[in-house]
Amino acid sequence: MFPPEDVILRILIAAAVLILSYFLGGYVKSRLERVLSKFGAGFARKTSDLVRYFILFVGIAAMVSILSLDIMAISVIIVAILILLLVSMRDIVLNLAAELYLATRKPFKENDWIKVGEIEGSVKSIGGMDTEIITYDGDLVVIPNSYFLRHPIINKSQSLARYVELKLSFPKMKLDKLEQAVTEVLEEIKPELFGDPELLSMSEKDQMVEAHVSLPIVNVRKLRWLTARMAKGFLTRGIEVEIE
Amino acid sequence: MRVLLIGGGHSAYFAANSIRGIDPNGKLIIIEFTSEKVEVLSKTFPFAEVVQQEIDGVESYIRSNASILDAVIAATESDSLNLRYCKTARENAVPLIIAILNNPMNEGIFAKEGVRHVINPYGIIPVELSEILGSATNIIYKTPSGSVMVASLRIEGEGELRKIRGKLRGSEDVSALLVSSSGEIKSSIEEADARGRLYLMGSEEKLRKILGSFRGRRR
Repeated sequence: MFPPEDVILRILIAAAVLILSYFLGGYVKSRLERVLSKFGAGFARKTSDLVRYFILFVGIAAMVSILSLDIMAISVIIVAILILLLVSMRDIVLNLAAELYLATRKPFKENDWIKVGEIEGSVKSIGGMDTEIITYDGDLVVIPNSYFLRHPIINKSQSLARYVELKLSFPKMKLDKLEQAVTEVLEEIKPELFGDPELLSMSEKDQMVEAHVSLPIVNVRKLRWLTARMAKGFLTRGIEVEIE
Repeated sequence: MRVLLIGGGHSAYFAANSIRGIDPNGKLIIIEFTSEKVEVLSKTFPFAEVVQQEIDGVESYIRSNASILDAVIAATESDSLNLRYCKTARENAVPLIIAILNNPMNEGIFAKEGVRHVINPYGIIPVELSEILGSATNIIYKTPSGSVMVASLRIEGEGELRKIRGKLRGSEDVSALLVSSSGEIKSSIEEADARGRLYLMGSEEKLRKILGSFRGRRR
């Protein structure tokens, strides 16, 4: 046992260390937040919070050491808590790492057209934890940022237009009667496209004609609307069509 | 393409004619606020669909047509209205959003709100003045994507020509063209005269470095 005056001194020093680490943590947090703000406010706040907690943690460890508690036992408990925290916050840590990657590497910007994994679409917003993408079908997909660390990102934004290929199937039709109609319908939708639509191929088999067309589209969300317009165009000519 | 042009003033007039030239078969919709201007615009731009809308009704028009609009060009005579419309278009994921500025000082505000394409009609003033008055360096054009730049540089002697030759040697990403003081145009600066104006086109990063090393010279 320590003499009583020694215990009081240790308690005082430990309290001073704790107070110091508290203020130091606050100071470092505010400075770091300012420095990192160029990478986005959310990211700066979260990173500086993390650093602040780390300084507090070091302060508590030092305080425990000064009070001469059984360091071995305390260390084991702290390591266990840390491991538990890391495991439970694995996704948050990964998303934070991904956010750092997106903020520094900048592989894409808002409105860019990207393909990541199986998801392809236009970037609506880039957040601290996730990124919103609007797909061909107009669906809003929210992707956790950690996804970008695990999948290669293809940025397709160099060109304004995306070339979308459609398969048109005409049951019980003959090839010679269709060519003119397909050309006319493509001509009708041309004002909505970024350039000329292209008839890639047309073939007849088993009383069915199949045509493949390529459409240069800027806003891919209008694909459904365009296919409906094409179907209507064929119907007004008395032609039944299935578009995929 | 289906382009929505908002506004019926001078900027919109030039924008509408440009769009017609770029995409003659495209669908152009012009929104104007007053019935008198709508009438005039319908006659001036017979190829466009001119729609009259209340100032506060434009946003709902954008919202309800966002899925089929390829581009929104905000070209009204008010930057605050342009910003409002650009923000609505952005929130509704219109792929291409372009603002035409009335006050060049507002450029930063649009950029801060995430409007990537901001046209500053006044931006041409310093460029033209620099060429006319023969400034030491001049940035003539930067592509919207920011990767390619066109600039010009006044060459005043053999020393400067040697310096630029050294900087361009081995550069695959910059092309040069020298217009000598006698008006002769040379595509190779190795055989160019020592005086004239050098036009450079290439990577923005590289060109900025070159221009930086020539800045600070007196006129």
